[in-house]
Amino acid sequence: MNSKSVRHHVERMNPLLKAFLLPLALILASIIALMITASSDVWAGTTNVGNGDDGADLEGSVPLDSGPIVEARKKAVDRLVKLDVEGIPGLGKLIPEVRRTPLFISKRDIPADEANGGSRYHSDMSGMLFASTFTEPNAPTTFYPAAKTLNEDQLIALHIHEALHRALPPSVAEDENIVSQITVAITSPESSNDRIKAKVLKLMPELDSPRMTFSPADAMMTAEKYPVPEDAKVKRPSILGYSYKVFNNPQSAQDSSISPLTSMQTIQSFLYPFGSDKNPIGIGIELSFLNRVDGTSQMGPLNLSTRMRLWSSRGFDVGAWAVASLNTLSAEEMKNTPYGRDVLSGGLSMQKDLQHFYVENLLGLTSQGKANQQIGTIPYTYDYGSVVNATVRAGAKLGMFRLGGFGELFLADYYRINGGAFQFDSGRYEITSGGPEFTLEGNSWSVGIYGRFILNSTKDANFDYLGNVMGQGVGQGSIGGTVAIKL
Amino acid sequence: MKTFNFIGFAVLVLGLVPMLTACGIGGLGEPKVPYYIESYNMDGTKLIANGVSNQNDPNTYTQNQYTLKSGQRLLIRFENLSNHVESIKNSWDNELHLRLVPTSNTDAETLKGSIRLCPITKNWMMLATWYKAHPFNKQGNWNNPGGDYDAASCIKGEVELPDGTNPDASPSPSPSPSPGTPGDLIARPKPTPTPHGYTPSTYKGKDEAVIDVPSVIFDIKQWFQSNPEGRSVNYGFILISENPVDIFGDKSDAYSPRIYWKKPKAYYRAGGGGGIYRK
Repeated sequence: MNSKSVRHHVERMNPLLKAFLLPLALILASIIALMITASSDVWAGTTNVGNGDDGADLEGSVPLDSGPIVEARKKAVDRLVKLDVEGIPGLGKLIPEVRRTPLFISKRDIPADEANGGSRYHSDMSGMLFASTFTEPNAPTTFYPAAKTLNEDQLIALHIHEALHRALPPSVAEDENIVSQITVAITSPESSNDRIKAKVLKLMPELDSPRMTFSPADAMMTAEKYPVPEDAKVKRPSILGYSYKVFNNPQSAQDSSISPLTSMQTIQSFLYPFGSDKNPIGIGIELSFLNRVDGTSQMGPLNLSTRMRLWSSRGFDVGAWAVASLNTLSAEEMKNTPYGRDVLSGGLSMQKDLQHFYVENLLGLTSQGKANQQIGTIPYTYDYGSVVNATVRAGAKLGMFRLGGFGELFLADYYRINGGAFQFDSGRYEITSGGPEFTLEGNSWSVGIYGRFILNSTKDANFDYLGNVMGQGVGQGSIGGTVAIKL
Repeated sequence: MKTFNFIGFAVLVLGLVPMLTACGIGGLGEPKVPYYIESYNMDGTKLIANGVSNQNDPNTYTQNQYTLKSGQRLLIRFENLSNHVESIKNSWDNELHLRLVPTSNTDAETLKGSIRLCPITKNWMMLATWYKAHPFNKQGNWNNPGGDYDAASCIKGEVELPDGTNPDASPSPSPSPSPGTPGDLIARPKPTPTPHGYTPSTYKGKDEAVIDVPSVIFDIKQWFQSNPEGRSVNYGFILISENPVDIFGDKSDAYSPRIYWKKPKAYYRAGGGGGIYRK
């Protein structure tokens, strides 16, 4: 891992203070860097959160989720997109670098280091550091309190400048002079794609060669022509959440459901500790609590799931998922219902996240299964055929609002009930359902409400026929809400 | 001159005697009661009431007693009857009966006068309600709330006293052999001078249930021949009473609604030529 950071210092500290603090900071930073390096090696990924040389710049740093600096980043991205810098040689990675660099804010100012070459982009007149980063892709950017004095244009320039250190070819990434000139070319009021391109080629004439060979990083840059937006789920897939769902479960005389359930609460934990940033692999656990018609509550099925992003191509994310809904923890009353069965599901998802739009297709297969219910002295067996489902989910993204909906189709082999002299066989049937989704997405949280309603079905089928409480629920549908923390 | 074949005669006699003995011919031991009682609880028992839509209301099944009245009826069925169709077809006298036992709140004569036993015409299950035979689709709705049944085939019962007699029956016939019925392979003697034959002494059957109170007996042979035997259909019965009457429920050991028939002792068919009874 390249631990050379680009840091810019102007003013020297008190010699006595420096004599004690800097060595101590160096030791601490080295320990932290060693730990992070070791953990990164374990997962064979290039993890770039960490300290560069002395580590002082990250002391007391906390993630930066909101505020003028974050807003300025969005505007920096907008400016770069508008200037179409992706097509300029050497700048193909610039937009992704601005978009996805993790932002931190230090709790205290530190002086810049003149020895590393001062720059007006990194420090103020008093020599205090504005920001620092590493000269490698995906590295974090740390801002310092001094940066709060900058106006929006200056912050935009600072974002672009720091990102250039990460995006330019390694041979020039640490050259403060070249980076500064390109920053000026991009941020000046009269900048244009041609002027930027001319400046870049003047500073780096080797990029003008048609026979120029690309490094692996450059090849990756080409693949980022369809970058994943910063707020895409794949960026932060791990969540800890709670949801509450009320079933549309009529109990009237003429239109009643076999389900004794009125609502369900679930606690969800989806953690993605495995894989890489691009191909995370996660394991999820969902605990459910069911509320019955008679007002009692009981433990419901336990969901164990695994999900992974398989690959990304032309801006589409393709993932796979598998869920086992187990009744091992369910209360005995739940086991003695038509829903007391284990459900195994799996499938593929295809997702595309754009700046103001998202769409997702899901294809799934649910295994057949069986549940038993004793009523009086008669044991009834509920046989569920395998189910194929296709789901389309789409919506608009407006700031932190996501407003959309989904439609889904279930094709099932059969639903059979046998007990005593009674037999029922639905034969093949289908259910078409859909509903709205409304979500508020923060950087580290999300709140949403949703609904699921049967739009059409054959054989008078409803969600009871599917026998999947944790999946589609019961009765005629449901409405619910969820609160989640992104980890 | 043809000589008497003594050896051949001996073989003939030695061969015929065991056969005739086995057939019960020759006075070597005809059984006094050549059958025992096969009796089963009507395990599918579900109370349906106007206004109750909870399909799995625990008060509507496995009860010690049920009250039948206007707006409250009882669905009853011996769920595994299909496993016994052959046995019933070959039953003694081809009879099949259903018994209800009134609780102390209702005397047998009142029960007999109030209650009708009607064949159900739609398949149902234990989640049935006043409105639905089953909850799985619209075809599960009763065409008429309160249950679909063949009103023309509703029957009334007869009272049977603890000693097995029917107070309303005509004098018992003499215990002479009766002519065979179409289902019989040979003519069989009527065993006892009681209307139904379910006397205490013959209750030493499968479950040895002894009814020591007056009860009401329904003859369901015709229903059996038309439905379980004729069409392989067993939808059971609905009990209807406009007057409030109480009967013992399916949770009761001896007094639960039960189905009865007489099963010949050790009956089997001989190769195509008829049947014989073994003691």
